[in-house]
Amino acid sequence: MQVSFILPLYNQLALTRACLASLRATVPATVTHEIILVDNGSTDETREFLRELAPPHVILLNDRNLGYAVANNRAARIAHGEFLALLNNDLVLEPGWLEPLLTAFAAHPRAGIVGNIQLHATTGAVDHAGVVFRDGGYPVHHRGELAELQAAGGIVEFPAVTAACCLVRREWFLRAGGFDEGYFNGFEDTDLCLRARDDGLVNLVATGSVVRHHVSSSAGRGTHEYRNARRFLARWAPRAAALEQEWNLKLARDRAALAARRYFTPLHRKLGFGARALRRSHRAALAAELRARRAATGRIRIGIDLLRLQPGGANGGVKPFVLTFLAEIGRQRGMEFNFALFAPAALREELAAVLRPGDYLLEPADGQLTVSLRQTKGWRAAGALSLADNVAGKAGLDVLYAPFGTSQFMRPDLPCVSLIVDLLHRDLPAALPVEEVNHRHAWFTRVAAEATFFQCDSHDVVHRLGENYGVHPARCFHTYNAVQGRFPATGGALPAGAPEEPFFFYPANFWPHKNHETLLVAYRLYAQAAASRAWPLVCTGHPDARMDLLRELRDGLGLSDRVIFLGHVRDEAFTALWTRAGALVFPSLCEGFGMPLLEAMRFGVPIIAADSTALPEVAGDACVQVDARDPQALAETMRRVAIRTDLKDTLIARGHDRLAAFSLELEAGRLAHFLAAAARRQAP
Amino acid sequence: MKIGLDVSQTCAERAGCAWYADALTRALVAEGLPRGHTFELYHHFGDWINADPRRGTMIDDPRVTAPLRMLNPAAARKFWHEVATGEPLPGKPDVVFSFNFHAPKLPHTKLVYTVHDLAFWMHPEFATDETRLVCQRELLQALARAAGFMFVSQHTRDEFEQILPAWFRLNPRPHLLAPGASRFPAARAIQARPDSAPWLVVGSLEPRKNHAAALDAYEIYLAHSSFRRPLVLAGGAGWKSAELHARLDGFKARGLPVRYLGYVPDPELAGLYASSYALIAPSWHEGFGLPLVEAMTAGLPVLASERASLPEVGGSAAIYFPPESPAALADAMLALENEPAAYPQRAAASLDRSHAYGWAGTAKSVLEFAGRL
Repeated sequence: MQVSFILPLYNQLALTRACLASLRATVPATVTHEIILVDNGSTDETREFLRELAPPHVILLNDRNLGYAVANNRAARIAHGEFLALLNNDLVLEPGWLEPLLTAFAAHPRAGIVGNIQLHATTGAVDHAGVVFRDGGYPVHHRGELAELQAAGGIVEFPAVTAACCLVRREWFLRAGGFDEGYFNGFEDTDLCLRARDDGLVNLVATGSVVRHHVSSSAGRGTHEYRNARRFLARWAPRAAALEQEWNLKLARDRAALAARRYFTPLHRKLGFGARALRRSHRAALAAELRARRAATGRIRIGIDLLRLQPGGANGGVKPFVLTFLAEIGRQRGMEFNFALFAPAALREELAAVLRPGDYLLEPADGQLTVSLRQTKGWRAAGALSLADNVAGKAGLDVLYAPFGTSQFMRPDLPCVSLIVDLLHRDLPAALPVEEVNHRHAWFTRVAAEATFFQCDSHDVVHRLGENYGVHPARCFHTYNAVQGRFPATGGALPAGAPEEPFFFYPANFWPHKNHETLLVAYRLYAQAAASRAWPLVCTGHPDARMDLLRELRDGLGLSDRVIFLGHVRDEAFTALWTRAGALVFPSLCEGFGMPLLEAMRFGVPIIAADSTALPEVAGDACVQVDARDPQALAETMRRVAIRTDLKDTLIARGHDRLAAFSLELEAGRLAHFLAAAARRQAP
Repeated sequence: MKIGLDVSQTCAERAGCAWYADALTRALVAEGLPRGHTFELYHHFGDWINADPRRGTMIDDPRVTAPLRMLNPAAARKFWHEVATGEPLPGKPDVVFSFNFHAPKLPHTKLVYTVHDLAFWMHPEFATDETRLVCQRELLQALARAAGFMFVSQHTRDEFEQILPAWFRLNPRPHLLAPGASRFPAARAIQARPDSAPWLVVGSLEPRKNHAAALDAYEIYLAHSSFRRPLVLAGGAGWKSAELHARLDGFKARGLPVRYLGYVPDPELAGLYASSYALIAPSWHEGFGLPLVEAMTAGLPVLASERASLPEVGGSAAIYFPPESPAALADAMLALENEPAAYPQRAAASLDRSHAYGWAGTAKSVLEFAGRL
């Protein structure tokens, strides 16, 4: 099915009838569709009217007025169309209104929410031709003369559009979580549009589509305006203000370009109009316009500081996360990036997959950076840079990407995107040496002031960053670590020492916050209760002194033959382990994301996870949550999951469904979008 | 025998475990010197490094040395690192007692590990992250390293069995019940308490101690009591206690007779026990419950939570209530107060019960235990 029309209703039956009539009259016969009507507890004859409707009408009844966001989200969940057409019930649709909206999606690969021109139903004046921002980020309708607006082009980009009449892809709408239900009849649409921008989509107005709107005959908007505005501005004010500034600049640039063009007309040239200074300023305006146009389309060089990367698994989840994302960004079309990658020389081979011909690798050696150019075959030496120099300037960086949060190459004049994976030093300082806590706090404080944008592992990290360092959420974006595809689908041989039977699996480095101690105690309780049917426990992770200590503790507990420490495991062996694992047990006390959760979902392994930090956000209902500080609770949960087939099946099925919400393409696209916005110094 | 004793926790503001270390150390020395034992006190112990160890327990006798008392933190850290990697302890002790939850690697000597409580596993919500991470790691290290174990109460021993079932059966290691006792001499006679004698709560302000229940109960009590005795709280400022402190300020503002004394040093605490009406111990969890024994030693009736080690220590002398029920506590307070004739019996029962605990006795059994290792 192509389109699901969605109309939330609350009284005003006459308008509803008129709207539906115009809809039926204007939907092209070739467009397969359904019309979902959500009644928000109308008190007039609307309910009786709805009772008489037959397919393609679908009726949803709410007992009371749950508001615009809830009504639409409910409808979207049961909709079948590729597109959702969100409509107010006080519209009068004009012939030919739908086709330009569909065309916009066909023409623009990254179309997000596509709106149209809306005329005041009684006066005929243009009421909406896109949403822009004013007064420090407050959304207002862009208006103007219909002919002039249409002359600007058939598809025009806007920061946002109104959802009184718009088209959006259902898949994206659902994945984004739909409208934010914290609003009540207002601002939901602008909020959704800005989230679409976060995902690297653009919001468009199809100027060929014109409808009429009984403006603000919709009930209950004004009363909630203040609360809605406060919620919106708390979330978006800096971003919206930046978009406002950008819009004003665009207007000024348009005027300057117009003036410059006029100046260069033969007439002006012949008249020798104006003094030399005036001529110079006009030429500068023209040049500025060209520069801006080039900057908006040209290739972007990203400096990526991976100097803290280590061979093997010592970096934990950050390494596969960053490398997979960079490779994906390189693959995605439409983004013209060029990498300059700073990394230790020992890692050249591992990084080869990330770098494409034309990318640079900068490796430190003797206080210098040796520069190599990646070629189709092999490398070419391209000189050296002194670390004492302005490396970023010499390397021609447009933006710096700091996957370890901070970077020695940060400069005030260089935009920077900083990856924040967790706030361990604030959430669980006891798990780090005090010097490390202080060190991290110092660099977080610095980066919070200096970075342009923050890439966070999860909404939880966005939240914690705001709480601890006052970073506004509009400077943050989240990218889920959707790298579950990094392991091959079928594995090689099991690593030596791994059991043949099902086992509890805990892949995690042996850092104190990973909570291995409680797990060992819980496992012993579980093993005693389950006796001979107990599954073994397999722990993988970068071998270090802590692993040796944990081995000693394991032996002290008398678990030498049941708990297996495998050390660092290669990708193929990992797949083999995932395909044999009975359940993932993930008792970590602090996680910004928790990659093994997605890997377990991918390989159909049921999950037991701690109820801490980002884990509930990532695992949702596809896991059994447990207070992982409590060994008795953890043991009981392990026992339950190991023996209850129905529970296992439910968890696996939910995990399978949930995995669809984690798309590497979308998540990496968001990173690419923010890198580009930072490099071009635009509002994202 | 040369016996090493960990007194690391006595160097800072002291709480239960530190008092235990201090009192048992003194008792062991008193009992041990006449038997020909010598002692070595460690003012830093394992990963427990003190900024200033000079306030720690000291005993003035040539047969009791304190080799680490003058070490600064960096030197102390280096010292314990060398011990873990094979350097013998200076006096080459035959046995070393840990009282601070730490189980350092001691390749050349036998370690006896004291288990105060398993609250960090039984009730993780009542332990700080730091306490939990350190205690669980060190206790597990002790399972791998210690030659013997001491439990401060049967209840703690039972909790150990609950969390680590059959560990001692599978890993035969000597272990001993080494309960605490009062630091103060027993009252010679039951004293009459004036009508103004206050209710007493002893313990730092942290969630586990359940001060909130005492305050709730006290409000109910005030509404019904004709005596309206004051409530006195003694104990450090604790943690996660902002709400409690705010509430205490509120009591003060309302002019109610509630006094929070903060951390109270020894001599004054003895005075408090001597002058109070009864002790209230509303804890959710205790490994032993030193205030209980100390109040009983002073001849104070005790109203105690029915959880964890408290019934074991209070025996039949204390009056118990469920810690989740302030109303039950208030009832118990009013009942005690409204039956003045029963008060002396209650007090006598307390004093009687307190005789079951004595540092000298504990020290004797510990010395004997050390000899058997």
